[in-house]
Amino acid sequence: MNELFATLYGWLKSFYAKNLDEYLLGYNCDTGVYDNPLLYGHVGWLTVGISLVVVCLYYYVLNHPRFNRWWSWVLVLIGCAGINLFVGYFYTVTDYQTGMIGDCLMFTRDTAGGIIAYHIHIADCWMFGVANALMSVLFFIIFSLALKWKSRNCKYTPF
Amino acid sequence: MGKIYIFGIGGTGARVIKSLSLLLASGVTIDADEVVPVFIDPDDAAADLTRTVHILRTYNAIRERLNTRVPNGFFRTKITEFVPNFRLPLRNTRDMKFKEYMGVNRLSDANKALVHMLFSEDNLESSMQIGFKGNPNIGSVVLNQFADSPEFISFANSFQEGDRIFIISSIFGGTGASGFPLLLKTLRGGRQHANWGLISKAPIGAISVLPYFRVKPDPESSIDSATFISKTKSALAYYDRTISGTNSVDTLYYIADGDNGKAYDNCEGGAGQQNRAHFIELASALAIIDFVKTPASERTIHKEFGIEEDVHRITFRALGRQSRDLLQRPLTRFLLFAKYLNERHFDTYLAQPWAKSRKLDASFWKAGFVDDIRAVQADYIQWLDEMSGNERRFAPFETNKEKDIYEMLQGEGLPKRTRFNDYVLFDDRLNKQKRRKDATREQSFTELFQAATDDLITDKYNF
Repeated sequence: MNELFATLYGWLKSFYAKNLDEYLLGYNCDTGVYDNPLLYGHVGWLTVGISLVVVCLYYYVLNHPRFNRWWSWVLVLIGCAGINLFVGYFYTVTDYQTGMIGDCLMFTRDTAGGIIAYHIHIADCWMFGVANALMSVLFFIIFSLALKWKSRNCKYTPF
Repeated sequence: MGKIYIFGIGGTGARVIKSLSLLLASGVTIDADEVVPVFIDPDDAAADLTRTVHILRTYNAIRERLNTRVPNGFFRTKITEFVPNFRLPLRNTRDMKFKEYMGVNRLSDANKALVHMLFSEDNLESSMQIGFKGNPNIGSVVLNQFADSPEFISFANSFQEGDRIFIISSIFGGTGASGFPLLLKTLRGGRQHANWGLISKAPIGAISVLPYFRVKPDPESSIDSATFISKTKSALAYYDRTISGTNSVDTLYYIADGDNGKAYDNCEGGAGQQNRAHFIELASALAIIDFVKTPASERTIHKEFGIEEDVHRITFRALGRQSRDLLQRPLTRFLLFAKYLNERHFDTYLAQPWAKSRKLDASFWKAGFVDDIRAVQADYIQWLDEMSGNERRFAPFETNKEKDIYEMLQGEGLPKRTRFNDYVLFDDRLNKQKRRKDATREQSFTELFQAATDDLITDKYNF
């Protein structure tokens, strides 16, 4: 399943730095292979979980006859995507700021150890957040189609 | 169960049958396979009659598209149009004075003298186009003809074992007071008719409506409320001898109300005679429902109607337990249904699952079926409003649009709290209902509202 998440996020890896993608794939600067945990799996499960909870809240808790038009569903979807944007951002920016991302992925250094170039920026964390938001849209749609039928008031939302 | 033939004589007959048809539309049950209303009224243009026939016709147009299997369902009972326009036609009454009908000019002098002894000059000069204008002596001559009409013979031919007959008439007017004994005489003693054996022994019930309204004094009119009581007394004495005394009917209902403060416009008949609906007419319709459950009797049973408390404004709480159980749920249910359809546009519910799952799309709402239901519901609301504005008032509902719809029921306390309110709750309960797959859209639609309004009543009220 973690590999599936890696594949799915791989579709959107052009949004952010290649080295951030490598970090999330589990690249280890010390060993030079991908033997760190596959972080796409972590963030993927988190996004799936959040999307599932939001879908369930919409279809089974809110379950409101006045909020069963397509635009209500779109608003909830946007809200869900917004939450996951921040989840993606904070997930990566925390590692970025605490130095969890391997040095070889973060910088290019000269022989004296001075930083010549930065490979990952805060903007990449935001862009990963955007990618995560788009991924959550996919999960939200899948869960909506799967779960809407048992909803009393929203079974035909969005269509 | 068999058919119940209901003869509605005169304006009161028409108004009682109107009440009955609206009760049946709301789902009040009657223990009969079919209801067969037949009006006897010489007044072709009587507005009350025209209005009732229109309701019956619309009811049938709706029911033709239903195959109602739900107990207590809206429009569940079949109403049969046995004669065209539900009317037993009276011949030679149009554009004719009573003396012409009698052929007074062709009579011998001795017979002319007899006629002048029995009928006043006003009686003889009276036009019969708008009824007998409170003169039972005219009615007792003219109404003799219906026994030989093809329509009456056809009724006799169709009468079957198990069928019943009910006669509605007022005692203080002209048509009803004279028509009831004549019709009864024909039914019990018309040996020339087919099925006479069956009809003469069939259970026959009747309601004789005593004065329950008055009309404004008008010197130009031949109708005078001051004569209602004296006419009633003499008719009652006659009924006592010829009807109760001979056990001609199985059950005889009497109903009256002295609390009749508001006077109606004094109109002798025709399109202007459109009285406001009155609770007495509703209670009289209950007599029919009671009669079909009452076993046949060797001796005439006499029944009256009463309410629990002598209040000026009647709510369901003021009714006796039996009447309340019969009326409260169906009337409330049908009003909820009516308010939903009348106060909201179909655009607002096309997106609701209850409409989508049953394919109740724009084509359905525009096909005429819902318009017919709305038409009956408009009559129903008008009927309730008229009874609510009359005296004594029957006002179990307050239909103020500003309030939450569930606050409409009066005298029952505040409705129970629920997660949703107003039409949101209504849509929620509509969406809750399961769809029957083999039902037509029309069937599905009425069953849906039946079930949802039932749920709403259970959820919001304590009955």
